[in-house]
Amino acid sequence: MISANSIVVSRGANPIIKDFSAEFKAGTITVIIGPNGCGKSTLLAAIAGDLPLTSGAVSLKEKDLASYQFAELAKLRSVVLQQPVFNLAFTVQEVLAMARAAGSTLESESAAITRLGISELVDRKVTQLSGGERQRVAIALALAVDAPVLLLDEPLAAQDVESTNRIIELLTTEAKAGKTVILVAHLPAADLNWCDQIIQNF
Amino acid sequence: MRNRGTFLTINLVFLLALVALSLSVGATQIDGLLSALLHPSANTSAAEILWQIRIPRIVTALIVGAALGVAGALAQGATNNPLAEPAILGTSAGAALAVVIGVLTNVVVIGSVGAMAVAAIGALLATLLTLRFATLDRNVSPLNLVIIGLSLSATISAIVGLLTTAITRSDARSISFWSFGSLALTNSSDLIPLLIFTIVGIALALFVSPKLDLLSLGDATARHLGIDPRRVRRVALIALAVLIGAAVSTVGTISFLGLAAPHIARLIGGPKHRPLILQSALLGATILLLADTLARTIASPNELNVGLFTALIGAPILALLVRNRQSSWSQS
Repeated sequence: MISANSIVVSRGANPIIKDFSAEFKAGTITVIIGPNGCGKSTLLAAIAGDLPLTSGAVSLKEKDLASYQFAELAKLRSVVLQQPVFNLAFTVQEVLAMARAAGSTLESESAAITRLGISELVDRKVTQLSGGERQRVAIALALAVDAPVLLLDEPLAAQDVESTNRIIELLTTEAKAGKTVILVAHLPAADLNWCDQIIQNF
Repeated sequence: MRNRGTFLTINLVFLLALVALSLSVGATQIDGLLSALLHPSANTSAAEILWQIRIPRIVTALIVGAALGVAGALAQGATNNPLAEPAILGTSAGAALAVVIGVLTNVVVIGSVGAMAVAAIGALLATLLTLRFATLDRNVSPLNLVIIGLSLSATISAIVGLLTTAITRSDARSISFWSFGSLALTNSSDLIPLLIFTIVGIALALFVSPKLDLLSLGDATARHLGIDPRRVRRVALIALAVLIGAAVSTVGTISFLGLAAPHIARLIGGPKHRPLILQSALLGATILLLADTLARTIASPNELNVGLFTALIGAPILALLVRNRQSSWSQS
């Protein structure tokens, strides 16, 4: 579905990602782990197409990621940032409706709200939510788009045990339904029996 | 928002009452106001004052007020910054400098279509300069934007001040009057271009407004949802420049309205940009008409600076609303 072919990402003169290659198949879930500052988020951002590559290429559906228009790409892959930005006091429901730009429907938005367990938050203002709640809203926003590729940067970082289990279950369900899921997490490799591929020491 | 309808009604009723009041007060007492209003071409002094002076001025206040309110909403939405407004981004100063240069070189006359076009270009260039200087590592820092915008505005305004005081020609007084912000110079023949510029600006603003909602999620998320933030910002800044070009070239720089109107509108009706733009237009029109009516009647027959009253009305309302309610902007 999506693959990285010898990608190099540098900031200034130093390379952060040196010659990384991997394949992410449809119907699988991949976890990127490693110590702070090792470039996990950079790697995910590069796969998302958010960073210019020094060399190499990311291909999505056998086509170079860089050749997609924003609007096309939005329907193919969703991204959840580590720290979602909510600058204005929209309600959770209003934020979810913004996924319409990428093809969500009222049904897909309500389904995402239910699956993230944020039904009681729909009328709350996003600016007044806790870190974990904001992150769940951001995941719901990505899920509402229903794109075949789902990229998440530390979606479990601010979650309690219940929400962590809920999100893991949700992501594995998405993968079983045929999606390609890639996430960054701070979990010991021993706790990752639910994923298909682990990426570390890159 | 359930407040929205109620507030809209109150605002409209107040605005109509204000228009009626503004028609009936002025330096000269008008007898037979109603008959003068119904017979515009009657050969009476009442009809003349009403149709040649007061009505054009009231219409100007409404149009310019709406333009400034919408311009503020666009500035804040496009930069994702609650402090952004035309006077802070350098937009107004850029427009003023362009007009002054145009007038001094005898290319344009204050209030004309030419002046509006020149002002819009100056407004756009100055705003782009602010954004360019405030961009670091592909991102605009919110604090840098305000500091650089203020510095650029101050620099350009100082140049405008120097140029206007150095003029020794016959229209020097009216140019300096204009540069401090005044609706006294409006001419009824300028109303049509002013209206057209403002309608074009507001239409562009309404067109781009749903995408401004997405910009509040940050550029990265907007992109992930299929929106090109740079293109959205470009359209918003062009609309902003058209509106400020029209407003500044007609009445000079009027402070605080662009900041206050959208903030008050957001606190009442929520942050969604399409209704916000209409509400900011209505509030801007109301505040400017009230301010101008006060400016021309309080010390009649002398005219006071209208900016004094836009600040005096807009600033306390804004401060009280923000104090008593959660601001619409993220506190972090």
